[in-house]
Amino acid sequence: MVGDLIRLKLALTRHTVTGSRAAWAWSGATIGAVLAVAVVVLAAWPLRPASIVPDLLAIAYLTWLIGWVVGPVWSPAPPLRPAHLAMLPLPRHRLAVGLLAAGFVGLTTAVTVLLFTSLVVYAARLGVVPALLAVPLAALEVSLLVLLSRVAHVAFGRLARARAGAALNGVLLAIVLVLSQSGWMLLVGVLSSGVLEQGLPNGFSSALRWAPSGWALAAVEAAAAGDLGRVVLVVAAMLALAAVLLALWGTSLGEARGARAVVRGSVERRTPRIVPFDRPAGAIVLKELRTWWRDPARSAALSAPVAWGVLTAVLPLTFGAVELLPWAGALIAVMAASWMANMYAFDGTGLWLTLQTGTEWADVRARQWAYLIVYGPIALLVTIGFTLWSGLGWAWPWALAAVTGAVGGGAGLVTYASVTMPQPGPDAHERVENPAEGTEQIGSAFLVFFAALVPPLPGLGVVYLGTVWDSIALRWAGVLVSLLVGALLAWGLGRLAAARLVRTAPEMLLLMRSGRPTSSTETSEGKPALTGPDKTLEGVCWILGIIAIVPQGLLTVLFKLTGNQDVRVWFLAMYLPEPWGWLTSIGMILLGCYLMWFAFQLRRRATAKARP
Amino acid sequence: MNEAQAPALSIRGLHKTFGRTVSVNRVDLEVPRGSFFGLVGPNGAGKTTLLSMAVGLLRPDAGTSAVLGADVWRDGVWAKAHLGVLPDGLAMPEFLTGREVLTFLGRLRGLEPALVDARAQELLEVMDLLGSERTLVVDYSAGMRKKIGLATALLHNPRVLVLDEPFEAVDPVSALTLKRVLTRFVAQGGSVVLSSHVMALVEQLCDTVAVMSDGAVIASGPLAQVRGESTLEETFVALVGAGTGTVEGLSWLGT
Repeated sequence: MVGDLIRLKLALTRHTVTGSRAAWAWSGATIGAVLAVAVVVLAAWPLRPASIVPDLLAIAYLTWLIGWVVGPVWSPAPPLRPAHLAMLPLPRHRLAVGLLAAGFVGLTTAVTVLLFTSLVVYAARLGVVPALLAVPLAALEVSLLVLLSRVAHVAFGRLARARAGAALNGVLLAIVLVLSQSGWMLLVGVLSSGVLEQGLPNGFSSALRWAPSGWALAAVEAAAAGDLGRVVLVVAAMLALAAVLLALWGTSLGEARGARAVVRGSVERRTPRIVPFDRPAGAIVLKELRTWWRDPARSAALSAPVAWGVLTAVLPLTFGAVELLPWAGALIAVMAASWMANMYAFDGTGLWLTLQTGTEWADVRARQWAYLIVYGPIALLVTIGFTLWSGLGWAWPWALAAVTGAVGGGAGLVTYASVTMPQPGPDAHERVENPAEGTEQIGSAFLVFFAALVPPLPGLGVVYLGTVWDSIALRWAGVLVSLLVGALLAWGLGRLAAARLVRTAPEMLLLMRSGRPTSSTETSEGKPALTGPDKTLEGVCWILGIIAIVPQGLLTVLFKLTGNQDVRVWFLAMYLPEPWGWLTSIGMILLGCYLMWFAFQLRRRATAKARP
Repeated sequence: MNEAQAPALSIRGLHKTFGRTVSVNRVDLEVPRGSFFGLVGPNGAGKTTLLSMAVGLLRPDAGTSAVLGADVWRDGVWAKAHLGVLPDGLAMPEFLTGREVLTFLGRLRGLEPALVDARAQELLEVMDLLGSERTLVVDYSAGMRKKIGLATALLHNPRVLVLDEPFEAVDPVSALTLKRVLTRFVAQGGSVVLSSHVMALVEQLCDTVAVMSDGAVIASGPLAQVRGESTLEETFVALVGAGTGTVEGLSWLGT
């Protein structure tokens, strides 16, 4: 049966993990493999003091554990879903074991296996017996991680059935995002504390071994110290945890589907008579607001940007910097735009009613109003509160110009992006396993994130001039400019979006219905047909290009210009002596531009070929 | 064509392909005014695709469709105002209750609030949905989804109803009420087009039928004419062919 399940999983993966999703998978695997090799090298490196090596290993293992647990929230549902096999007359534990074995076949597991060879390498330094013991222990540890990940996937899905749980999922997602983008700030704090010279504090070291990710390491160390009793104890604990997790996961496999936490509607008898919008738009605004309140997917779309903006602004406080605080509201607005970049997919095929009632214009405008009503006050209040907290008096016009531009521009961008680049997701009543499950195509969200950074720029430019020329009036005029630009963008992009929706609503409905672009819409839109490998290559080029341009290029230039020479972490250019550092920064920007140009060319060539 | 004499639904050469599959192949169909029209066909015959194109939810590759003489693409606003549609398997505003869906749609259609309230109350009663007043549509069962869909199709008092599988998953008691509602609607001059797999139901309700197979209409006309001496089911099987699925296989079943 295991062989069959593995074949099934591979077949499903071939069909579902294609295009940009495959690009993300391969990019992730490549980066993961590089990190894993670095950890293996670290395990063999004679660092001083000697205790720092296992501690760093334990940190790496814990990081991987967190990745395995949080990853499922971040990623779309696995191709091989237990629900597909629920009706097979198999005992649950056999199904669980079979699915687990199939779960091992994958890129992430391969990278994790590579990581845990570091345990064997390190054990070899301690002696023959620990080395021999390390091989089965590493295998057991990998199984534990996979099992923890499976149980976490079920647990997060359950959580998301209630609105509060979905909101919590959004916060967790935001934490992962913040850590992966600004985790280096924490590292700056760690590195400047001198830990590498003196070793980690004892309490921290032992805490790392108490986490399930450190158990195999603890057993190897006990074996090296000749403490057999402890080895047996730790191994028994690992086996027991594996058994418990397997049992937990097994019970979830045959569960009845669709047990969601029930949200109750109101018993409203009458159509509201007074709404501050004309008829169709008012009805849609009301529907949207009710949906924001009741849909778990929307709870996550609200909590994640808020958590992300707040955390990103607060994290630099770890080394005493308050400069980011006033920007928190603007950050929320930017992330909100990114999160809602595919807003029509939240309602899926519900679009047919818009089409049937001919209310496309009202629909776009009403969604914009609802967007402003939901995110506007939060972004504005956070901006005001955090600017007060920071105590930076000069920051007021900057922060207000940023937030007004980002909120207004966002209200335009989300409608335009969701109409021009719609990505189908499951309809609400089909999101059975995880009601907050969205679409897996996040390309447009990515684009909108960067696009949403642009609308505040004119206003900020005026504020900058006001600062240079020392004019209070000009600085506050910047806020007004931002307000105008935001309003103009919301109006203009909304207009474009509505006009386009009128033209393409049937095609969009077909897309939502079939869940993927069908050939008849493809040809009518004249979209190029990239082959599978080319699509993957294109995606990899985009991702690596952005990494090269933004963090490795522009950010390092910024550090050099502002005199932050001691921030190194993963910024290659900061490790090299000048002029090589500067050359690396520039080289990275050029490399990134080339990669993006290459990706663009791939698509252009495919377009040229597609034309008869 | 004069609006007063135009057929309820007039389909001319509707055609749709998905990739290499021809889903609907240049279909012509005329639904006379005041008729109860049944569209039958096996799974995958193209019924849903045809009806989606006919009501303006799916853009055809070729052909036209007119409701009471008004083209659904060129004169969409007028056509859709006189059309009630129940599509198969499409989402509703899922996070509203049944009543909220009806009041929402009433306002989208520009009806007077008092009228919407009165009609919503009546429709919920007829559809037997008052018992689950606070349940959101997302938590509705399949049958309840059909019923609220039907209620939205009736709400604005259209003159032509196009219903895709309206009785699927609906319980017998509600089905009986529905049949009465639809029969009365036709008796008062309305026109109904419905698709179904259930021959007995079509035979009981409809006066005109069309049989669809492989994307084409292979027979259409008054019920008595299409079925001739035999039942509709026998005629249907004879027309569509018993297919390759014969009962002679599966000899092991039940032994």
